[in-house]
Amino acid sequence: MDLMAVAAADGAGATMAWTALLGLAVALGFITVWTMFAVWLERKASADFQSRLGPMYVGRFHGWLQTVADSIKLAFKEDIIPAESDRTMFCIAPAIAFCGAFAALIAIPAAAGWQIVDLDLGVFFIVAISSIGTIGVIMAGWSSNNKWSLLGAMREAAQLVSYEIPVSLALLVPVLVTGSLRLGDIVAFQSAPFGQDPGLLYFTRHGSLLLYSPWTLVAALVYFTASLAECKRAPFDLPEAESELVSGFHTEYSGLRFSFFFLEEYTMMFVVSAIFVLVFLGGWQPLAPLPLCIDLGDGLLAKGVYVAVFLVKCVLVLWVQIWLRWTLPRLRVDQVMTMGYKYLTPIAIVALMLAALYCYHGIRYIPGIV
Amino acid sequence: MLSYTRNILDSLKTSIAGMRITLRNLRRPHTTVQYPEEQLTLPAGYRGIHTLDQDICIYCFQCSRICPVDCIEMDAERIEKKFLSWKQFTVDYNKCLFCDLCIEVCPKDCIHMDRREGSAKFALITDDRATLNLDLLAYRGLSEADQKNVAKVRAEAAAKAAAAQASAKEAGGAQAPPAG
Repeated sequence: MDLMAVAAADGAGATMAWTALLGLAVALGFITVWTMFAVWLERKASADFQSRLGPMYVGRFHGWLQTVADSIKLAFKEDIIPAESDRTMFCIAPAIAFCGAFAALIAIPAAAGWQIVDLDLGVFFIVAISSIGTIGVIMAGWSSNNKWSLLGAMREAAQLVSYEIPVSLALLVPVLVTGSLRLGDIVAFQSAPFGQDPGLLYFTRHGSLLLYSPWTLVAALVYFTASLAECKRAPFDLPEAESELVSGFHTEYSGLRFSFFFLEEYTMMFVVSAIFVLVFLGGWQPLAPLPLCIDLGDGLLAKGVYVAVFLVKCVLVLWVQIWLRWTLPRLRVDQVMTMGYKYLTPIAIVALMLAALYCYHGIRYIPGIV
Repeated sequence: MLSYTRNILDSLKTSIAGMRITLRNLRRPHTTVQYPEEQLTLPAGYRGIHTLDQDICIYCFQCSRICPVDCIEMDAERIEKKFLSWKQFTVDYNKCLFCDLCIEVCPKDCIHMDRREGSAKFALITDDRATLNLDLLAYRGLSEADQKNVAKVRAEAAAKAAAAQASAKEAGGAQAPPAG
C-alpha cells in the first residue's frame, strides 16, 4: 500500500497530488495524536518515577486529556513578537524546525509495505531531512533579538550537528550488514526465516539486529545515545535547561508558535524511536528481538496487528527515553561535545570497521557458524 | 587508553545503577494526597479552627482574657441568673495564633481546636479578610433545653409569687379589721 507508487503507476498528476495530501493528512493526524499521548505518558511516567501522581483531573481516567487542554490554552495565548526581531524569520523558524522532523515520517513503515513513500534511500533520507530542523533552531535563536536565545541556539546547533555524525555512522552498520538503505528491507532481513518452509511460527536467522553481533549491539547503543542528543532530551537537554534557568532559543516564543517547537521535539522522539525499533528491534514482528517470527500473512487484520506491535514497541522505546531523562543529570556543554566527538564517533567508526571486515572480508567471529 | 575505556565502562555502569534506582522508585506507592477529595491524616496535637460546645460554656471569660492577641469576642446575657442567652462568640482568625491557651485555660473543657478525632479544620481560604472573623455559635439566644428551663423557672417563680401574694392577701385581710 505504497500510496505514491500507486499514484505514479496511475500516471495522473492529480492523483499524485491527492495521494500526497492523503499521506500528509495521515501523518499530521498521527503525529498530533502521538504528541498528545507522548506528553501524557511523559508526565505520568515522570510522576511515577517521582512517587507522585501526575495529571489526574482532566478527562476522568488519569488526566488523559491534559495535553488537549494544554494545547487549547497555548492556542489562546497572546502572540508576542519581540519589537526588534526579524519578523519573517521569527515566524518561519518554528515551522522549519517542525517540518524537518515531520518530513521524516513519510519514509517510516508501520507494517510491511505500509508507508507513505517507499524510498529506496529510507535511512539516508530520514537522517538528512531531520537535520533541517537545526536551521529552524538557529533561525529562532537569531531572530529573537536576545543574546541569551542566540547563545542557547548556538549551543543547540553545535550539539545537533555534532551528533549527526554518530547517528549516521551507527545507522551505517545495519545498512552494511543488511545491504540495503530501505527500511522495509532491513526489517525483512531481521525476520528472514531460518529454514526452508517457515510455518506460522518459525525461527528466524537473525531475530533482531540488536542481538545479531557485537558491532550491531554497539551501533544500537551508540545510535540510541546519539539520538537522545538529536531530540535535545535526557542528559543532553542543556539548551532546554538554559531555557529553564536563563533562556534558550525558544524563550521569546509563546502560544501557538511555542507549541510548534513542542510538537517538533515529540515528533523527533517518534522518528528516533521508530528508527530504533525498525532497524534494531525487529520492526513490527511481535516476538522480536527474540529469534522467533510469527507470519500472519498479508491480510488487513495481519497488517493491523503489525501496526499495533510497531506502535507498542515505539511506546516502549519512548518510555526508556523518559526513564533516562528522569534518571541522569544534565551534561555540561563541553561534556556533550566530548562525548559526541571523542567517544561516540570513534566507537561508531570502530563498529563500522568491524562490520565492514566481517561483511566483505569474511572474518568470522564464531568460525564456521556465523 | 585505559582511562578512556574506564570512562566508557563507568558511564555505562553508573547509568544502569541510576536507572535501577529510578525503577525501584516506580514500585513505591505515590505520596500524593488528592486534596480535597482525600484528606491528610493530621497528627494528634494539631491545632485547627476552634469549635465551641455552647451548652457547656459558662461564660467565664477565661479564654477571652488569656488570648495574647485578644481575638475572642463573646457576648451573652444571663437570664434568670443562670441561663445564657448567646449573642456573639467570634474568633478573629486574622489575629489568632493557634497558640492553644484558650483551650488550656477553659475550666469546663468546652472550647476545642478539634484535634480530638484528627478532623481539625485548617482551610481558611478567602479573598476578603472580613470573612475571617468566624462566628462559632451554633444557635443564638437560649438553647431549647434552656428555654424550657427558663419557662419552668419563671413558672415556678410566678407560682411562688402568686402563692406569696395570696398568703399576703390573707395575712393582710387578717390584719385589716383592727384598723377599721
